[in-house]
Amino acid sequence: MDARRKDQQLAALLAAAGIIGCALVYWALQIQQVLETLAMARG
Amino acid sequence: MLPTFLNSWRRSIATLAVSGVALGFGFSAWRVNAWEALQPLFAWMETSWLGAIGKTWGGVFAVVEAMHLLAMAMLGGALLVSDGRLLGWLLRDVPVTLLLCRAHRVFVIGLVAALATGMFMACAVATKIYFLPVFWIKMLALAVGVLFTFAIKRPLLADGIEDLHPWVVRAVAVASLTVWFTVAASGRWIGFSG
Amino acid sequence: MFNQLVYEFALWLDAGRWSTLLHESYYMYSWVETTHVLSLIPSVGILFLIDLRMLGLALPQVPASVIAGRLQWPMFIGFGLMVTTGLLLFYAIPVRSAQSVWFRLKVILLLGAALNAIVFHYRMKRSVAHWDNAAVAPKALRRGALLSLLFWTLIVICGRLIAYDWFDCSHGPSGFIAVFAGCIEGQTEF
Repeated sequence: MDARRKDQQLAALLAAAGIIGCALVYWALQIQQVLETLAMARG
Repeated sequence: MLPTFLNSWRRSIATLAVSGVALGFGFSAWRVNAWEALQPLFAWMETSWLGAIGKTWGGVFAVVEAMHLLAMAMLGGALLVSDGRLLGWLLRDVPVTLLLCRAHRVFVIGLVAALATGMFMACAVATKIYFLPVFWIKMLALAVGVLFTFAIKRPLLADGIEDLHPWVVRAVAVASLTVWFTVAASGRWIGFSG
Repeated sequence: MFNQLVYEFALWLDAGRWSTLLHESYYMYSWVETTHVLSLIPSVGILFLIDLRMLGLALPQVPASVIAGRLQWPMFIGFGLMVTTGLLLFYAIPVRSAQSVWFRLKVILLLGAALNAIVFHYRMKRSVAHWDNAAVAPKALRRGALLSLLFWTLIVICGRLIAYDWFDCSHGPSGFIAVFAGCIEGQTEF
């Protein structure tokens, strides 16, 4: 594998990992909000 | 083909920047300034003839929305098949490059249709969505999805995946499914808000 | 009469505790509906790919039997989700749904689509060995694929229009609409 291809692969991995990471944070915050609302509703 | 100065690193960083913006931006005053600058555009959208049609005839809006969902189905179906193949779940006896290339065409048609129908609907409800945080989340997720798909995923996979590390391929497929799922889910949420 | 039976069945469902719980819950109904809409992707999304293959408009170099055969199970899971969530949505608001012209039209179209799919399936099984690698399926199957695209487009449109109350029984429509919707003279529950 040439240097350019190695670069491309690593960069793609970085982007993919970043996206998955951001999505996990986002969805975790959403789930937290839902749980809080449900807890409030139960009083 | 993208120009060479936009090499893989710069593209990845750009995609991550947009992705990070969706989170970080949400907690700073900077977002308010950018948002306020867009207000005239959204006010105009609602008064444009596209907006007028959508607002006057609820039936037309509903049919366009149904088309938006069908476009989503097409786009999503193409992604399920491509990313499913990359993850080794679906169509394992079809050559990867062939499947990805062909499915990508269906994806693009679905995406174009979704964008067109989406813009029509946005005009009709411009003021409402302007004030909805989940709309902006969807737009940012959409930007990340488009950047990732066209500038990173496709160039990486177009020449075949045999030389790539299997975990890189899996990560790319999962990221793709994740970001587009977020676009679809936040889109549905817009319908529940306001 | 049919309409009276449907109305009474809907009233019976409406009286159920879970029906009310689902309808009035803060999140549950929204999640069920979201799942229903997003399930369009593994169901109709995959089906459209299969239909487009038969018409030679997508994935032409992949043998048709491979596309149809391998994608069958994910597609059925998708449709399973759609039917389950659809039934739950109906159960949550049974009277209004049962008396919705759009819902009734949607059911008729669903039956049509199912029939079309069965006919297509048998025709394909009989003939696919002859034309598997051809870019385009034979005429009868192309017709079936086109009908499938048409049916599902109309089904999604009708589904979306259920939310609109232009022809609701509570607004007292008359004539053909009232009959097709199954409005009962003097009904008090909607």
